Amino acid sequence: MNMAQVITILISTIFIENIILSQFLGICSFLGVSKKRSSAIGMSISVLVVIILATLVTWLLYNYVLVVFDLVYLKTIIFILVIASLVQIIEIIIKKFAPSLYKSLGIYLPLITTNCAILGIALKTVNYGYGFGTMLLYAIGSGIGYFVVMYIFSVIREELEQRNLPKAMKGIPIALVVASILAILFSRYVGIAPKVEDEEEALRETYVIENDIVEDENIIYYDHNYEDLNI
Amino acid sequence: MKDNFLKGFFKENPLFTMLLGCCPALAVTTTVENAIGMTLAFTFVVVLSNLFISLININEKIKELIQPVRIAVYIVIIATLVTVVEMLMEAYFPSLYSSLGVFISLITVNCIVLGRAEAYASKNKPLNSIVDGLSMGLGYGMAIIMIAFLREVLGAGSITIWGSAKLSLIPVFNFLRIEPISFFVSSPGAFLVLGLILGVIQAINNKKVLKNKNKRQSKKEVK
Amino acid sequence: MIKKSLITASVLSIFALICAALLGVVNFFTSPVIKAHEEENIKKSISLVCPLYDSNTMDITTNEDSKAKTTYLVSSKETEELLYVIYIVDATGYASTIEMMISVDKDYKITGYKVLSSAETKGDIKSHDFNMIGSNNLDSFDTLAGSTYSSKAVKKCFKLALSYAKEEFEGGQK
Repeated sequence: MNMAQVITILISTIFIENIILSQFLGICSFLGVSKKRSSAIGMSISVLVVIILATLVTWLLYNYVLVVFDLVYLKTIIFILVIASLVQIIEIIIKKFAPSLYKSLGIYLPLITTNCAILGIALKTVNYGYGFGTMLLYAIGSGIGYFVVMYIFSVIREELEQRNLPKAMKGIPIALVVASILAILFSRYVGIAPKVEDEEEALRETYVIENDIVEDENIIYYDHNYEDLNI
Repeated sequence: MKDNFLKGFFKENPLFTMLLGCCPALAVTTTVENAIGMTLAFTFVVVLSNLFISLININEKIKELIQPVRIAVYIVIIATLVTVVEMLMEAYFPSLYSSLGVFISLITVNCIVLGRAEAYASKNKPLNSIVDGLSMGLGYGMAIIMIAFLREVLGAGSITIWGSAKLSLIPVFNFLRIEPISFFVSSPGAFLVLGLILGVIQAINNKKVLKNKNKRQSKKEVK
Repeated sequence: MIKKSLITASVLSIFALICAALLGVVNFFTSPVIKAHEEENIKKSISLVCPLYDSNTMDITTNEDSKAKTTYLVSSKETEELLYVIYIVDATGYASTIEMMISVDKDYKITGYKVLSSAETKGDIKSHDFNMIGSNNLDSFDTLAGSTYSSKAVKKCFKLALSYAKEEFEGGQK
């Protein structure tokens, strides 16, 4: 995996295919804990840590245990148990070795087990059959994407609290409208990923069929649906 | 019994009043068909999980045994039911299964199912729990079908009920000389539709509160 | 204390085992149906990409050693001559992996193709005519306007399939 690929995966997971705004995972916590900046940061850091660890563990379990023993149909039940126990273990470790951190993050950890972002990403990586590197980058990118959106959203919501709004739109309704605008903005980040192919090279490229074709290109393709937005 | 059944639709609607289960409500509501499929899967899971959990809790001995790990036991039961639904759907409704994708599995972590198990089913009789599950499942279904209806009509100009039972509204759009706004089918549109629906509900609630206040005030004046 | 936690742990594992057994039973009944669906889908796609395929006179076998994700070899029942190779290939990448089924005949020409899965929300890529049928020249490839990235992935799929097919048929001649 080369650098361009790494950057493309990270940028697409953080911005274009954002875990909250485009994949709709973790909406409950997104609306529930984003009223205050401090709680949004606490929640996002917990999610970031758990999402990486959980995806790693479940991916290994799936590929080296479930697939080998032909028990793929048990994946949901096993994944959720792994996530729940992982969260418990992290809680115990933090409590023992970093009590001050536990004070600030402790209340968010139990909420994470039922956060669909964690299970969703874990299931998606195995459903799409990602390799080890892609899986890790995907999890890291998703966690960072969660953090970025939560932070921006909480700042906007703090600001909105002090504004004079129509009574009907106060609270969650206006927050959802803000989320809609954020989603439009994030889906517009399409152009910032590294250029897929040098145009000039593409023109010069003669399509001679070669045997080592598989290795010769490190092209990353990704699609975008920004043409869909009639705005 | 009747109240128990009706509460999920209006008074305690899980989506509109408690904001639970937002993820599938936004993700699978691109067509009415998907929303109906999600409703069926969700109702199946919530009814059966309520039933099993209230059955477990009837026996005092088992109840005591699982007390320290009851959440884990509930999650295991729910995950099993979800996997059963997933397998049945993949076998008998493959196209629906592929369009709902990962969100079928994610019913496992849907707060509504676990919330009803802990708050209602573990304390009530099996029959009441079944009714509660039906009420919650169908109430949630009503909410997501409503969102899906708005999104599909405005965004794609059609209503897909099941498979090829599709009603195209394009002639109506042509008559009005407008085009469907595909923004509503895209992900930002989902947020906007849910936000506006919740806004309308909040406005109605505000009015009700105001009316009650006025009534009370006028009563006081009469006295 | 230890005894108590042991009891709870065993209770939880008993529950998990019961549930797993239940799932195993359901899986036993549904997995043949799922498999049958998949096979039927593949047959349908094969007859779509390879219009001359006739199940009475031709056999389908899979080639496990192939570089492609899946390879179906269609050969004549009588002469056992290899008539078509059908590949399922995908253009590797991230946000949208485009998976295609491409059939190449023994004259080394593409007889048909089908986009099996793509994350693209627009349906265009699935219905667009890339002007490749009956040809093996990628210069005639017709890019779908507005979706340059997906078109490039599709082009790569063709390129891969053609390269595999070349190997396959040449290997057969030896």
